[in-house]
Amino acid sequence: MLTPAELVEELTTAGGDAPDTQQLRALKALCRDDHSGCALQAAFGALLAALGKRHAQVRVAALQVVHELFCRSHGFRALVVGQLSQLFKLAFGAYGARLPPPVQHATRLQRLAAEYYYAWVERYGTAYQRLVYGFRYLRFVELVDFKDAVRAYRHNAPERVRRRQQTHADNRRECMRRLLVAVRADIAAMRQQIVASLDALERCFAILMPDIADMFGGHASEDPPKERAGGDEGDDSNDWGDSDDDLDAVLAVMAANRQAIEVSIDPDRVLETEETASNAAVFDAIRDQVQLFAQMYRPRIDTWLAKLARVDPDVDPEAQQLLESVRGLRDRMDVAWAKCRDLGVGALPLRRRQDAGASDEDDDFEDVPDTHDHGPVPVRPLLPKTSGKPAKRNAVFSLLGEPVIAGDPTYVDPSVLRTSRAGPARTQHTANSTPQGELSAVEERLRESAPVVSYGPDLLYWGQTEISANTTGLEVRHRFLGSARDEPVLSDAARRGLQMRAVFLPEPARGPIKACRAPLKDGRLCPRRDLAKCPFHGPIVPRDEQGRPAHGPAPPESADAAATAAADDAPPRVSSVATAETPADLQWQDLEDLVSKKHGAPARRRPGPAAKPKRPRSTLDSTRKPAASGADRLRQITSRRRK
Amino acid sequence: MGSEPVARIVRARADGSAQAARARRLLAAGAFGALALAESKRLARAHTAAVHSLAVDAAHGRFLLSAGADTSVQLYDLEAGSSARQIEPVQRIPAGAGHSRIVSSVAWYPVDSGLFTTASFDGTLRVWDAATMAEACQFDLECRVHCQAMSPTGAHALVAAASESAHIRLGDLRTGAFAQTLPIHRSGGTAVAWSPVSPYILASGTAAGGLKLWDIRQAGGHLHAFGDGADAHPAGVCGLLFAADGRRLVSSGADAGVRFWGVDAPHSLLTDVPSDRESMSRRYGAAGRCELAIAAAPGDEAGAGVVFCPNGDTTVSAIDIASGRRLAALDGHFAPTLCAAWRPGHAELYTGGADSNVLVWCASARAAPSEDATGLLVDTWSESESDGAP
Repeated sequence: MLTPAELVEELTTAGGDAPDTQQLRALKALCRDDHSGCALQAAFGALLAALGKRHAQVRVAALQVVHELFCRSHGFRALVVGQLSQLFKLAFGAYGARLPPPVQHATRLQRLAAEYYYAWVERYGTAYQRLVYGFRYLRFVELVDFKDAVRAYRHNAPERVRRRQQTHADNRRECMRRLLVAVRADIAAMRQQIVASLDALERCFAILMPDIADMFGGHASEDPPKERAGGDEGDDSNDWGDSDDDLDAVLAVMAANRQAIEVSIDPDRVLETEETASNAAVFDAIRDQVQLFAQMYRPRIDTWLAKLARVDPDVDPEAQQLLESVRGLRDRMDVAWAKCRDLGVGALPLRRRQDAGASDEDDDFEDVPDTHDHGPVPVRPLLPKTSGKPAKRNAVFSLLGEPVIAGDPTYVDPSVLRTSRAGPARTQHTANSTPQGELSAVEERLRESAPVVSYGPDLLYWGQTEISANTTGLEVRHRFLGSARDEPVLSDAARRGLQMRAVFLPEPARGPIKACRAPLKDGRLCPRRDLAKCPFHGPIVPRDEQGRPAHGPAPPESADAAATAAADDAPPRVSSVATAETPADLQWQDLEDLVSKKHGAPARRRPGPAAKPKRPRSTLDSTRKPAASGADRLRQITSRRRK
Repeated sequence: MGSEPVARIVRARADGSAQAARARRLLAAGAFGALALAESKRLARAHTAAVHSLAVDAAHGRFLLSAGADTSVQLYDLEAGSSARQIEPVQRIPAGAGHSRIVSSVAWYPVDSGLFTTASFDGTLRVWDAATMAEACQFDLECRVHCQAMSPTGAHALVAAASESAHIRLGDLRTGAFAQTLPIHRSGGTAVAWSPVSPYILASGTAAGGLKLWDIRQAGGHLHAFGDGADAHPAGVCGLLFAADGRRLVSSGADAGVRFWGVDAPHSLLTDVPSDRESMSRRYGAAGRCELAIAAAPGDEAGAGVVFCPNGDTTVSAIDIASGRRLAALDGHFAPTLCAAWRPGHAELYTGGADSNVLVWCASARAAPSEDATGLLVDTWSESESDGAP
């Protein structure tokens, strides 16, 4: 085992362009494993000594070793920074010192020193200010040429930049992966619901709208209203659409004659499917679904798309696939959306509001859409039932519904068409809806028995295992719910908090606090209202009108005095003996007087008027003669003196 | 570090073996003596040649003026750079715009930071408006001015200038003319200092080493000369400074010796701190003087504090005023140090040197680098140590 000094000696005297890697590694291992810093100190001392040798090649080798250790150890850096002037003198030839021969090694020493020193300043200058000061000194006072060093540093810069970019890219990739996992989980959770909703919508469309194949497939179809122009009505008078042959015939006729058919279709009203009592349920279902799409699925899908578009395809090959599937979902939704619009089921609340306003005033204020509802929102039928009111004026076919048109042989009443065509569809619909009806019956019963609570965030987030932030209006960084920066879902604690409902129990109603009602000296009853105990009269007990305790005898004399006092100022009361109609109305207090009179005893509670002081008693007895005060005594004394 | 460990001082105080005043003095000395280069703060290199003079304004302790051989004057706002890694000068007098030769001395107007004065080897003493960096007035001394000072009491507006002529001249800023002339040695003055307590007491040092105390109200001559007949500093006086209580005078000589004098007892030397370095010429270029800085905690009793004295080599000595011990040698410059300035209230020392740097020193505990740089302070040994390249 060699000491650091010996290792340095061997390293610097070996010759060669670069120090021996084995020995260098041994030296670094020595310095690394010695935590006391002695090895570092020894190595630094030996290196300074080697730098001081009068041979430029030795100095070059020593400088290379210094550079290696400098880039590794803080302790070594501190040592070097403390001895910078020495280093300048020995490696740069500063302070007028001259570099030793041989000349080519001396120039190499200077070049290497500049290169290393510039790298140190660039890398460690922020933490070791003295390096910067030393650089200024070398650059501006010693006029050391750092151009080559800067060039060399820049030359190595791509390597450093590449390393930095690598870490940056790694971080980004990791971030994207997390994002992708989150989005994928979200999609997996929602996809079934969305597809089910789309399927339901399409079933509804199948009921309401003819398929293109059906339209030209021989069934009496309800086609887009076409305004026929150019005098072709006469040729077209037969009832077309009866059969393939007829259609062929019509087509043949049309092909034979040059005709100009102008078809203008109002994009808002392509289909002429009116909502009637019979298909109102279908429309309701469509509206429910559309509502769901507009308010929940569509924003969700847009979020997914935005997130997935950010993910690089090379992060995960499945990302692209996922993106495609989400796009497919969105396209399907767009198609359904368009169909809904054609049906006049405006998905936009604004449009619905207008319709409602036009048709029925009291439908206003009714259906403010609840933005965060997961369940189907109950939507009232917005269009009036066609039975009571005249049909709306049609924008395309203005004569529709006019009595004149009924006589026109080219006109077929759409309702007739619909009834004739909707036969199988109707049965299908009913077959479809029967389990739903049962379900709703059960549901109804359940609903009746369910407790009614007001709507709140706990119901909004009911049963969700994770709540994604930033899609439903929750902020990613919320004041109370915490930050959801890594994955845009709320933490478990925050979710539980959201799903919890605070119920404020009403304070138990407290009746009026009863007065103490103990008789006071001045004849009144104690007006204090204490809960349990009056500070003057003890525990609050039920008392009668005179203030005597209702249960348990009070101390006789005090009760007597109190009763006497109470009776004095009590309002004149009518004896129940005089007013009683039945014996039950008699009060024993009144009877007591009578009984005592009968037995010759003095009436206890009604002393004679002589004993009755007329004035109200007060706590201060003004009749009492005041005690001789100091002033009186003084007056007496002075008068005595005068005498 | 020459300061005693804090724990020992505290223990001695607990024993009762150290008086309260002494313990406090020792602690202050320890705190001021153990300075380190501030790693989180750095002044930009604005001078292209040696920095000869530094001044921190007494009013706020916020603005630092530096002037030097490149004839420029730089004004740093020391608080603006609290977040930045490097403090750039906020104002400057560019080289050549003001003085035409070395600026040997710069000083703030003691009352506020709206004015400052500079003295230069071009023979002028100029007064500047700090807000606009425009010259307000100028005194022409017709020979190299080494030092100038205004009374820190602010009682008058006299600026004393020590030049190569045989007189200290007092210029009055209110009239823009010289008001008084004090005859000193014909070798010329190198240093001048006003008493911080009495507005009329002035000390002067000459290149020949004489040190005299003046009362400017007495026309007859100086009050007394320090050094008991001999020259105070045989090699010449470099720097001169009154202690905060005005009762001690610190002088540094060209031989890097520092001496403490009692103002009231001129004939006896209080403390002599001889140079501990090999004889090194204090003269750097033509500016044969150095600026001292004195650091004392405000409100401390007499004698507590540390004098920072540029040694003429790359170090600045921290000398305990009471004991005269050299507490530390602050080695940060790469060329001879020429000036020092203490920033009161912040416990920061600024030193300037011939390497054109202005270094910031602060207490070791606060000298740690900023947080983003701490990552560079750790060892980065690789596990295998197989790769040679860092």
